[in-house]
Formats: sequence, C-alpha cells, structure tokens
Amino acid sequence: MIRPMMRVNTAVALTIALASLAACDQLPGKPALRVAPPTLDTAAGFAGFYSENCAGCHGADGTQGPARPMRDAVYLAAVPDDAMFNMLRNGIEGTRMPGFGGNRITAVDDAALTAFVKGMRTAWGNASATAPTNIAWAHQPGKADAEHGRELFDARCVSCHPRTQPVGSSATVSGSVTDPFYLRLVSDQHLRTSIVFGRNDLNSAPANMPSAAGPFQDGNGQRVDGALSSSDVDDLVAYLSGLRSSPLYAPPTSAAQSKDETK
Amino acid sequence: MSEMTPKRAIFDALNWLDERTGLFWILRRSVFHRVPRNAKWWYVFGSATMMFFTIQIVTGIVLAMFYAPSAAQAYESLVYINEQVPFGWMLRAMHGWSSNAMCLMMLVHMMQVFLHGSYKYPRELTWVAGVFLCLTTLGLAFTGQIMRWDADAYWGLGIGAAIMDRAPGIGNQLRAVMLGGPQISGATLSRFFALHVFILPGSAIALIGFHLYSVLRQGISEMPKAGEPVVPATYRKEYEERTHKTGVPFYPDAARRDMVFCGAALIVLIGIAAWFGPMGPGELPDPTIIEASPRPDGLFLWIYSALALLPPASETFLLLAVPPVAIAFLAAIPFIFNRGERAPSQRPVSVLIVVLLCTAIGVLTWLGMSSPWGPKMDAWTSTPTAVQYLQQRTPLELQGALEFQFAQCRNCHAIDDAGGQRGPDLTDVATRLSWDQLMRQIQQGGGNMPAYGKALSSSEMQALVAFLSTLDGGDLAATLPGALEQQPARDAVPQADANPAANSSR
Repeated sequence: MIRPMMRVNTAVALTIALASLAACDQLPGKPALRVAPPTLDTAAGFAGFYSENCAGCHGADGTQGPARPMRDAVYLAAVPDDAMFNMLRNGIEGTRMPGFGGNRITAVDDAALTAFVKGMRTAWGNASATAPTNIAWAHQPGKADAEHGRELFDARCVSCHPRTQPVGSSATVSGSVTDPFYLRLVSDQHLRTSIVFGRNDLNSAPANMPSAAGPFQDGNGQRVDGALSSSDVDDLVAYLSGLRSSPLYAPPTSAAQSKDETK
Repeated sequence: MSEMTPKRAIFDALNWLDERTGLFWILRRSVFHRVPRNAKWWYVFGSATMMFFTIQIVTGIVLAMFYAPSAAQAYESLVYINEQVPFGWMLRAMHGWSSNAMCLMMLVHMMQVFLHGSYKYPRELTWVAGVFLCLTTLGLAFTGQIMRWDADAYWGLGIGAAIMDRAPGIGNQLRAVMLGGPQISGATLSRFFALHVFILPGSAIALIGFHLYSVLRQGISEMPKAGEPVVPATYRKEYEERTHKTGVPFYPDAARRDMVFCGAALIVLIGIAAWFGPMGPGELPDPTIIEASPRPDGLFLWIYSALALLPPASETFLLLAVPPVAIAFLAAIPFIFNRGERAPSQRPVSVLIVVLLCTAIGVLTWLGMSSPWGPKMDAWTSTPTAVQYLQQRTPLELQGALEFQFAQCRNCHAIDDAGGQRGPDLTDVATRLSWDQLMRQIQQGGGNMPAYGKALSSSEMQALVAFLSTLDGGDLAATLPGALEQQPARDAVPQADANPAANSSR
C-alpha cells in the first residue's frame, strides 16, 4: 500500500523539479540582454537625448517650454543642417542656449550632434513644410529702417504687446516686448525667429502669436491682414533692438525697494 | 582472523583515521555537547550567518572561475556571467543577496548577544572575535561592491580615497596604499580582488574557527534570567552543573532548530535571488560624467547619509576619529561590563542603545535611498516646467522660466515636485515671498542657498523674479504682471550692465 503511493509522490516531485528547472530561464530576476544604446538619429535615440538635454527648456514634447518650440516643421524646414548643428554645438551668443559640443568636459561629439539633427528632422520635421512667407530665417545685421519698424509695431503688434503695461488692469494681453529687461535677455535672432515663425503652442491670450504671414491686430484690436515682407521683419527687429539700451521708463521709486530693508 | 567484509573495511579505515587525528573525538564533542535546555529560537542567527558565509564561499569560488580581475575586462566578464554562463546570473544574484543576508543575520546575532549580555564572563574573547568578524564581513561586502567595477564602484572608491586623504600627515600615503597608486587604476582592482578573495575570506575562516572553538569551550550561554547575575568566581561551576543536569545534546535538539531556520532562510534567499536577480553591474564608470550620483549598496546607505548630513566643519574629525573609537569601545564592552545582570529587563540602557541605533540606522538608510540633500545635477536640462506655469505668461516671464533652467535653479528647487529636493519647492513661492523678498533671496542667498547677486545681471534677475512671482500654486489665473501689486518690474529700469552683450555669459 505504501510503496505505490511513494512512487506516485516521487514522480510528482520529479515532475515539479524538472518543470521548475525548465522555467528557471524565465525567472523575473534574469537580467535582460545588454543592447547597445540606440544612435541619436533613430527615434528612440533622439527621444532619449532630447529628454535628457533639451526638454528642460524646449518642453517635454518639443513644445510648450519657455524656449522656442522645436517641434515645428516649418521652422525645422527653414533652418539648414549646418546652422542647427552650430547652435547645438556652440550655443547661441546672447541667449540662454548653451553649447553641447566643443571642448566642454561633458561635450557630446560632433558625429552624435549631427545624428541628433537628423533624428530631430525624422521625428518632427517634414520636408514639404514650407514657410507661409518666403522670409529668410537668419538675422543679417545691416541697413534697416527702425522708424518704419516703430510704425509697423504700432500698426500690428502693440495691441497684444503694449509698451506700457496697464498697471492694475486685468486686460488680457501677451505682455511687453519693448521692456528693456526682456530685450536684454534675447538676441536679434530670437526676435527675428519669433516674428517670422510666431509661437502658437503656448495658448497665449487673446490669440496665439502669429507668424509673419499674419493676421495681426491694429491698435484698436481690429484685424489686419497681409503678411510682413522680409524688410518689414528687418525693420521691426531694428526697432526693438534699438530699445534694448534706451530705458523707456522712469527710474524706480525707492519705496518698493526699501520696504523690505526696514524689517 | 575475522572475515573481511566491506563494512568491516570501512570501519577499520575510520578507526585508523580516528586513532591518528582524533577526528571522531572532536566531532563527538561538537555534535553531542550539552547545551542549556532553554536555548531556543534566539540562538539560530549565528548558525544562519555561517550558512550564508558557506554559500558565499561556494558561489564565490565558482564566480572566481569566470571573473576577470582586470580593469579592462572585469565589467565585460560580469556581463558574460550574466548573459552567457548557464545560470550565471543566478549565481551572481545568490552571491549578492547572500552577502546582504549574511550581514543582516550577523547584525541580528550581534544584537541578540548584546541584549542577552552573553558577552560577559567567560565569553569575552568570543565577543571580541565576533567584533572582528563583523568588520571582516563588512569589509567583504564593501570590497565585493568594488568587484563590479561600474560607476558606483568607481565613485565609491573615490569617496574612500578622499576620506583617506584627510588623515593628517599620512593622508597621501594611506590613499596610495588603498588605491595602489595615486589614482584609481587597474592596480586598485587587483588590490581589492586580493582582499576580497584571499585576505578577508582567510581572516573570516580563521576568526570563525576561533569563534566556534570558543563557543564549544565556554558553552552556549543560557537564556538570561533577571536575578541571576554573572559572578565570575562561581559562574563556570554552576553553568557546568546546570547543563550537565538539565542540558540537552546539541544534536538533535538545538541543531534541529538551526536546520529549520537555515533551511527557511535558504529558501527565502533563493526566492529573492530568482525574483530580483543580480545586482549590477550598473553604468560603466566615466570620470567625465559629473552628473553621476553614485550610491552605495543598501547596507552602506546609512554611512552615506551620515556623511552627507555631517556639518562640514566636523567632517574630518568625525570621519577619522569616530570609527576607531567606536570599534575599540565595541571590542572593550565585555571587559568593561564583565559581570552582573544579563537580563534585558535589568539593563534598560543597553536596550535603549539598541533601539536608538536601529532607529538611527533605519532613518539614515531611508534618507540614503532618496538622498534629498543632493542636487539633481541634470534637472536643468532634463526637467521641463509643467505647461500650466508657462501658458499665458509675458515674454519676460518666459525668459525668467528659461533663466530658471539656465541658472540651474531647478537642480535644487522643484516646481510641482519636478526637480531637486535640496531647496524648498517653489510651486507656490509667490504666495510666500513678495517681489522684494524674492529679489533679496536670490541676490543675497540665505539658509543653505548661495548668493546669486554677482552671477546674474539685473535683467536676468528681473526676469527670474517675474517668473517666480507667477508661481502661485496654480490656484490663481495668470494675469498681467502689472495686475499684481507687488510687481514693480514695469517701473524699474535696467541697471547699466557693463556690457549688455555679456549678459548671457558668465
């Protein structure tokens, strides 16, 4: 009576042992095979590098960051590879864009940056995306009519970007761009890029920042159609650039500053 | 002449051996020696420690057959063991987790001996050997981590070398002895390999031998009873009488409990190893990656936390003076408290010390896991600001948000829990600080924050404060800066920066 029972038990135990031995290779603790990290021109490689190095300023998905959105096919189509590479490698003078290549201790090598540019175009670019206007993306210092720029500003920009902010008002406007504090933090190229490509990702009020193609609003909030021309953009940039070093506002009252010090 | 059967032959051979070595006498002494009847489950931890040590020896020998202790190949050989050697990963997992288990069991064993006052007369040297075994075991765990030769090992060595460097006068020499040269190199790995597979295991085996011999010679201590203090003059006689009268043989009575506990511990170990797998190897070491946040294995996290939280002025003294003094005191305990009560109920200070130590180590370990004191070095490029803090902001405020990243404020300050934890979360900073207070805090620093007044231009400062003053916790709708009373940016004038073009470079 006991013997057959034991034989059955032995068989069951053996089966379980063999099965568990066979299953050993699928245990959860088994480390995954090591694979080489994807190169930056692939979607995964690009996304990884972007989220580690760019997302902080350019936004988690390439839009809605404080810096220029990069997920913008029109912008990507307008800026050539070598210019993009230069901005990535060396940063942009006069702005908060740091360089990621060159002689820095943590520098990314040039090949990787080139691959990254390619990866960005694959992920977010679109070769057939064309600018609504045919205005060159790059700022060229040269002759421009700042006075004409001021007139254009009054006619097309001032309703969203008033020069003097209505203190205490809750009027929905996008805020001053003639503020010298602001102008000192941005380059002429930044101004140009903002004017040419606009900024439609931040849900600003009352409307998104249009590209150079318009439409705009005049000082009374009426719609103004008609794209800016290339020289119009030059003139606007020249006007804003000229405001950078000439304070528009009266010196600060000392009341606000000394308030805290008397504590 | 009697008939020669196989059974008889074996018996004769064993007799021959016993006559010359005394092996059976030793075995009989150790297996059947009488132990106190009341020595129950409290006494299994030492055996469990030894079982894990045996596992370490066995798995360690097999691992050593595959491991290449050279700086160029160590990492690759670990990957090879993980991926190519059949069940190599399981071997590594067992070795790693068993190391933790051994340390844990050792500490529990030590705590039990301390709480029960078992170190008192006549077992002083058993305790001293135990203290050295404790150091050897921790040394094995630390050198074992180095064998992984990944970023954690590299930076761990760097920290160790920096501690050595602080020794007055001989710091450089000590570091050279530790690293096998001025820097972390192949020689360092060879050195730690020798420690890990020859010197420390050899010491451990010798110490365990002495420890066990002492246990056999002095006998296992009885369960402490209040009102039965240790009196050296009479203790031994009374102990022997009692164990002779009421004791039980070690095998099978006490050994059965040891075997049950060790068996259960072994099953748990195999389960953990199979489920969680081997530890590392982590990232390859790269001295140029300053963003690395090396963290030691769990066992040493409390030391890591303690080091991070020490006041900087006291560091050198505490690092160099406290460990030797603490170890010397630990070893001296049985000589200082040689006699008297053993029961925990009669020794409240000892109980309190154990409770305090466990709490402190537990809290420090928990802190070490999150290490909130360290800045998150890559947050400025990798941690985006949530969209609701950017929508409907003025151009200046957006520039401020950009400055917040660029000036690496984010590495120490989180917004909406995203970012470093070293400084306060700034999600609702505008509800706490006025414009002027924000300005002053950034310019002059304060608390643990450095002063940024010299590092930021007036424009950068204005933009930054303009952005910060919009952080009202997300409860209020964003409006114009001018709409908020405490925003005098509109009325301020940029200070004459020496060179506006240099705003961006510092």
